[in-house]
Amino acid sequence: MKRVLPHLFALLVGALALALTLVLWTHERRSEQARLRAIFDFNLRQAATRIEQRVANFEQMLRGVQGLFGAGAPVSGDAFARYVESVMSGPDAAGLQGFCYAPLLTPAELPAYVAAQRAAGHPGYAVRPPGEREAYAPLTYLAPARPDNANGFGFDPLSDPVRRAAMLQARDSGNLAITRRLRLTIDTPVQTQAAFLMFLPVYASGPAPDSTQERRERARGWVAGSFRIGDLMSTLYGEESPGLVLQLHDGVDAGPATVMYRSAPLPPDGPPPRFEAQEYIAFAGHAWTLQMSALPEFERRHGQDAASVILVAGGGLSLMLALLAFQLLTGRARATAQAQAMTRELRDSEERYRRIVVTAGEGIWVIDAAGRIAFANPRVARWLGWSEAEMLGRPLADFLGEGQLERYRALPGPAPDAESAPLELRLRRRDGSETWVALSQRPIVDDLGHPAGALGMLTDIDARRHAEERRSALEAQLRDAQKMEAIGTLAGGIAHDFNNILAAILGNVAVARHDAASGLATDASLAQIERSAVRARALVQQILTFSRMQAQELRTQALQPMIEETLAMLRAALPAQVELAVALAAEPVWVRADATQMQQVVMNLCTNAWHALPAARGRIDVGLDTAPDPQGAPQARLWVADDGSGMDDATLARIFEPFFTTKQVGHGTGLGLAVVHGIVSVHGGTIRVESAPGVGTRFELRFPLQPAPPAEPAQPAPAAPAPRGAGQCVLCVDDDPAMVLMMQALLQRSGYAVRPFEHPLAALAAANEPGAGVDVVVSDYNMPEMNGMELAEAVRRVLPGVPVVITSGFISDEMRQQAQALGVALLQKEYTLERLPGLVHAVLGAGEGAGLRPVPVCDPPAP
Amino acid sequence: MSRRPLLPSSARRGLLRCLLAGVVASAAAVPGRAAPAAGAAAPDCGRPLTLGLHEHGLLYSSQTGEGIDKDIAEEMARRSGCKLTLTVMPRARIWQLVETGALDFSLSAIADPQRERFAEFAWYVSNKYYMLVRKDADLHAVADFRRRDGLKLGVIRSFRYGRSANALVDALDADQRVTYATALEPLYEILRDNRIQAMIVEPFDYPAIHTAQWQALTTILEFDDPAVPHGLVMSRRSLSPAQREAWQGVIRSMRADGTVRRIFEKYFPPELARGMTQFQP
Repeated sequence: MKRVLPHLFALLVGALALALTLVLWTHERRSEQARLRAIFDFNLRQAATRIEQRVANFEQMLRGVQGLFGAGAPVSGDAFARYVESVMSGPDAAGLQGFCYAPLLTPAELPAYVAAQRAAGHPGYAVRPPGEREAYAPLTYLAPARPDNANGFGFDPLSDPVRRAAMLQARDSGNLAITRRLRLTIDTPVQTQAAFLMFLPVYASGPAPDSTQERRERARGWVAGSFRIGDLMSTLYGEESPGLVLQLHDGVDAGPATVMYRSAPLPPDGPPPRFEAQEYIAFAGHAWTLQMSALPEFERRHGQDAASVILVAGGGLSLMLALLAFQLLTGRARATAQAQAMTRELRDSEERYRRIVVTAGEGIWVIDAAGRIAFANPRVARWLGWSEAEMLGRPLADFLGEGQLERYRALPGPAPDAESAPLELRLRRRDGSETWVALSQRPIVDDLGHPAGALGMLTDIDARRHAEERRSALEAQLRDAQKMEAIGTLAGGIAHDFNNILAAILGNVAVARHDAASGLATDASLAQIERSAVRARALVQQILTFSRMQAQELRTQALQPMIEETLAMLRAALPAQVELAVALAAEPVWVRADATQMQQVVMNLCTNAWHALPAARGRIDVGLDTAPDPQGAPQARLWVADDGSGMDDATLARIFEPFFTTKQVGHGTGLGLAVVHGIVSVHGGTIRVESAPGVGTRFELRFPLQPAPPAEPAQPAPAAPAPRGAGQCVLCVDDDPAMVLMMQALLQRSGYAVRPFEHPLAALAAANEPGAGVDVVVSDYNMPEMNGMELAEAVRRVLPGVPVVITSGFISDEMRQQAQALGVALLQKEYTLERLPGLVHAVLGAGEGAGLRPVPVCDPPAP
Repeated sequence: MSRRPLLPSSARRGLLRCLLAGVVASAAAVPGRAAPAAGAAAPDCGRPLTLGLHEHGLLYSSQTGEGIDKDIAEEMARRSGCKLTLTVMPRARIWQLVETGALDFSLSAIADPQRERFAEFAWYVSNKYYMLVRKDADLHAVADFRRRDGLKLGVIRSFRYGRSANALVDALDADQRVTYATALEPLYEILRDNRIQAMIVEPFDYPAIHTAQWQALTTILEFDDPAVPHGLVMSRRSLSPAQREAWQGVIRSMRADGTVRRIFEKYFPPELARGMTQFQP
């Protein structure tokens, strides 16, 4: 029932609306019919009035003609004609054929009348029809003049019963009398229009007769007017009345036999007239029937057809109303059904997406606006070792590795509805370990456009990152290995150089002894010795720098110095038959580079060039300048070329492969060019090789050119000699006796008391002595039993806060870190002579020296 | 029609008694005008005055040239000394010309609110209206005519009657059940031909319907309306209020000295004439 109710109600509403429409339609139709009927009746009334009025006009004209004869004076034919002409000149005479005058004659008066007419110019005049009658009324005057008047001239209308009846009525009443329809005497057989004659009596002059008898006695004739119905009606309406058919019947019978006039035939096949009516027009005792019929054009012309509009519009509105009622009644049910369907669809959609999210190979999480986990799919939970429920509501920072939160926060917000570029992050697992992921994030906004969180897609890249790290480590090992190889290659040359230096030193020592023994000055020899020692020191520094195993440090620096240093080492190793031509740009060529790695590159390329020279004889060109790239950007251009054996295409294609070598076993590891390629790539550069067998090989390296860095602050003026000490006690430790002696002498000369030791344990025991009075410790790093750092720690346990200086021929990064942690100073051993006194003074001034006593207890300083 | 005294048949005596009773009974109910003030002006005869006659039974016949209205008009002319030009025309046209002022007078007309806007009336006769209905229509009361859809009524164009008669005419006209004619004669003919089944008549029409033929064919039903005064029609547009008052005086004098009654007695039995002409206007 509930289901059917809306339909029934809608039907009821529609039916009521339709019923109302029908009522309105019916009412409008009736109103329209009434309106049309009123218009029709008005037209009928107006037509009747017009006809009456026209006939009344004719009567007035005829009365005028009557009055012409009633004045008493004789009226001539000319006067009659002129009067009639003037009367008929107006539009009201339309339809009138003419007027005539017929005198009433007795039989006795007739002959004289005829004689008079004949004498007046009508020799053949005769009264027609002939015969004896009790009275005659021959037509004597006819106007207006027309050729057919002859037909009427002399005719006696009294002889015609129709005319006679009207004439006698007019005579007896003194009023207008109209005949029935007749044929005028002037009509031809062709003329078919109905015609009428109007008669007014003419009495003898005197007062108007007051009785029928008196009228009969004083009657002297008649005046008559004739008109044709067709002419009359056409002058009233034209040939057709729009939308209406007029028929005029003689008498009250409106049959076919009585039709005098029809404005237009009724369409034979048309529908019956909607409106049809008659009106009876009576005058002078005579009646006409005016019948009017409405054609369809009448309705079209006057109808408004509002009923059809009401029917159509009402029908349509009824239908719409029914539909609206149905919609309103069923709206709730449909809305509910639709909501259920939509809910079902939404649930299905959510289930689909949930399955996708749950089973996705990628990690998916949602972070709310407060930075908390609002959702994490099982993949993420498994990665991190938590359950999904445990992750919900916790801050994201709980799951980010150390230092990753800042990186995450620094993640630039992506454009709306766009994902951020992947950010590689370390996430922290439940067990504290970390794993690498690549995070792509998309913001979530609410309906008002406010940030509501973020949707993150995570990809596990831990294996890749570890692989990259291993690869980087391997590459570093590779570089170091190759570096060692290069050093090995240089070993012979370096040894040769050192031999030369040592020869110079030993030689000058011998000269100095001899000179000293001879009492000669030894300054020149000592100066030469010093120069050789400095040279040796520089060579050692270069080797150490080249071989230093340290992390890549890119900084903008000129290429020339690092190339020159490398070539200086190389030159010492090259055979004399190998010419080394160097063409470096005069102006600094700035690149962003790691000096050590660049030296390794130059070294490897030059070594290869050297090895490519047949019989160790040839030329190696090294050059540096700037050149634009194909896009016009300036680049640093470094080339190394040789005129050696060259390489064929097959070899050329493999030269950068690790371990690929054309040398015999034991004469190269095949890593050199691989390392060069790797270093050039890391520096953002490119490498191009040109080679031809028997011609030589050219390696051209290009690096992005950097703008010159800001000028470094001016080097401070060389420090003034360190102030002399105040006899502070310095504990000197070095397993090299020469170094111990040297430091002792140097410090004593600088005003310090020195206790020298060659063994660190002995030095430690001395420091433990009560009242040892040690103010500063200067120790070598690399010693047997314990190294310098260990010694510093042990001394600090006994003498907390005592300043310590560690010297070493090679200071690694690890050593620097240890020194920083312990708070000890470091000194490169080769700079002992120049810097040790100042450093001791500095460390004594920086901290409170334990055991600093105004009274020295160490060996007194040298005077 | 000759001017012979009415000679009712025995069968019509009842009708006459009916007519007389109706006229007498309602004579006192007709509102009338106050007595003329002393010293009313005489009609102005400075110009020819026009009077329209319509052909209507005893009122006027164009065939005889005689009738009550013609007698009234002649008496008016005689008493006033004015020349009255008589013109016979349909009643509808008479009203048109009176309204426009082209016609000064007409006679034996009744008033209604529309006519009183352009015409003033001077009563001299009062009579009821009757329905002349065909016997074969089988009607016994005027009210039955409305209920019989197939019946048609004949009416003279522009004629008005008593209240209930007017209501009937208007209702039938709305139903297209009224046939109009400009005069009585055509209505008689179409009534005879059964193209209409009834027409409204008044005592003036009696001579035309007193024949045996009509007696056999028709019967008369009475409207419930009281007698309606008829009188002189004066155009407000063509006649000044003073002139209209003057002519009121002429009619009053004609009534007062029995002239009107005598005129009516020429056409009606004395009792009927007296009942029609002696009333309080």
